[in-house]
Amino acid sequence: MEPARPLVGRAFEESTMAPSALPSFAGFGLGLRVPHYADVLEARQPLDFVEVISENFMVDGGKPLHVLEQVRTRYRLALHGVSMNLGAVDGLDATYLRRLRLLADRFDPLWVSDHVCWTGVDGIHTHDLLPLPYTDEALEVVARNIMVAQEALGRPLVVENPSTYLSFDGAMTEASFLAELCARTGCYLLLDVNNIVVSATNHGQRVEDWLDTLPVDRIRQIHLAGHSRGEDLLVDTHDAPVPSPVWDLYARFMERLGPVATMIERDGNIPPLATLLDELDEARRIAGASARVAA
Amino acid sequence: MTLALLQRRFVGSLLDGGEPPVADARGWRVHLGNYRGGLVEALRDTFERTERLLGHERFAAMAHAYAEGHPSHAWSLNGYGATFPDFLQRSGATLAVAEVAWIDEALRDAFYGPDVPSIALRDCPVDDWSEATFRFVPTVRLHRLHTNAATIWAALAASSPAPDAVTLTEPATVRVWRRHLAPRFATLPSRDAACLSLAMSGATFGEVCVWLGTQVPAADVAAEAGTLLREWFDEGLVQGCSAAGASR
Repeated sequence: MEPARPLVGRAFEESTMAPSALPSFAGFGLGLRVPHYADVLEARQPLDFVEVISENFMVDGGKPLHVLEQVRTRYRLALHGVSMNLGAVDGLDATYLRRLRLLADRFDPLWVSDHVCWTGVDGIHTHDLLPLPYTDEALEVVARNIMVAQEALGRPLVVENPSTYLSFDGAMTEASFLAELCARTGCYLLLDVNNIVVSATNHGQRVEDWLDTLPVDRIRQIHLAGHSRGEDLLVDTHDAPVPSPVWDLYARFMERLGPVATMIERDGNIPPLATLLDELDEARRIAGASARVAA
Repeated sequence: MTLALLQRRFVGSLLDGGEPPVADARGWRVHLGNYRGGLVEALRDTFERTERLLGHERFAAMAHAYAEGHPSHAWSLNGYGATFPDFLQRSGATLAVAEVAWIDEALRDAFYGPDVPSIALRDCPVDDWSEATFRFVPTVRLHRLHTNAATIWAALAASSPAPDAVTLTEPATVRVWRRHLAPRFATLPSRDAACLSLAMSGATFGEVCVWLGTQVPAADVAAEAGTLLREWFDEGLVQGCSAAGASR
């Protein structure tokens, strides 16, 4: 592992790089996990794209990259990261960005995404998506880091709302924070509907705040997943089928959105591929019905 | 409170598991569980055979103890646990357990190693083999084992009962490398290990043969050296060779 070097970029106002527009992509996909590698490679599955965890492929070589090469010949690809650390007060890791750029250039993804969160500080990585206070200071930090990432990656970044289990005093709601990030940086949104349900439930908030505040023209992708109930909290475990509240909110969003990519995200208790494809058919049905309502 | 201070206090609380830095501890406990659980799961993934040998509960106790004292300093967990084999030995596990863990870790390391193609012996542009030197693929590692850990690892990998651990009368050398996409290891006879170690340190094949001549009758040196040379190439260990300034 190369030593981590912080990359503290210019203030975004000074950046010379204006992110290019990211075309929308309407399709239905899955988060690709190891148990389904053989299924997606041995037969063409009804998937418009697959999403992989970027860090799993930011390696020197070996089987992961070999598999991804084969996957890419058959499917469109989205790269989804968990370790960019957009809330890093001391800037982004230049080595990380360089390796992610190499991966993106090699596999030509639809887009590259990560989370609006922080993952560590002072060189310690928690490998968890930690919550940010929605303050002006945090907005400055995350916006600056997004601009640095977009410049380093040579493409606009897509950022995802995380599930949160605690909240801090802040001047903004999460939806306002995300909207402001889009306005300041030109980034796009990956809307995790399950995360909205989890966060809204945990903090006693109304989902309408997200519905009414998020800039729908910036949303390029939707995650659908399941959660579990922890100690008085919903926890974003991705180990269960998509539950009714998530489907319901997905339908409400789809009535407002234009072309968008939807996918099922499953990381635990991973069922046979056919089960996830059935869930994806439900998403197709809802999206189709929503499109008819919108028309 | 500044964002930097909030983050430092939060990470500090995850590392020591002490006082939650927020009024509502419920959410903090979710993150504490995620943090420690993530590190332990990474160890479980890398040290699969070690866990089988130790048993689930004892491995979990060791893994949690390691995670508490060893935060991750990399954005990837692929390399997390590189010092876990030493930690096991310092924490009361037997040498055989620590050596099985070393094999687990070395194989994981090779799994993610660089893609460097090996070459065939016939593609080595060498006229005078005595002057030939070799460049080995970067995943090749040699390690001395003092127990039958290699046999134990192989049994565990085959889901067979592990033999009792024994201390070897003479340490054995294992070679770990990746051939194509598959990490492998092999236990080497001591002479083979010494010859490979010499060649990996930059010795010419002639120098390897001279050393071999101190170990076997002179009449057998050529045959033994030829066998070794073929094995290095056949097993995919060599990425290039050179002689008299030539290289490929």
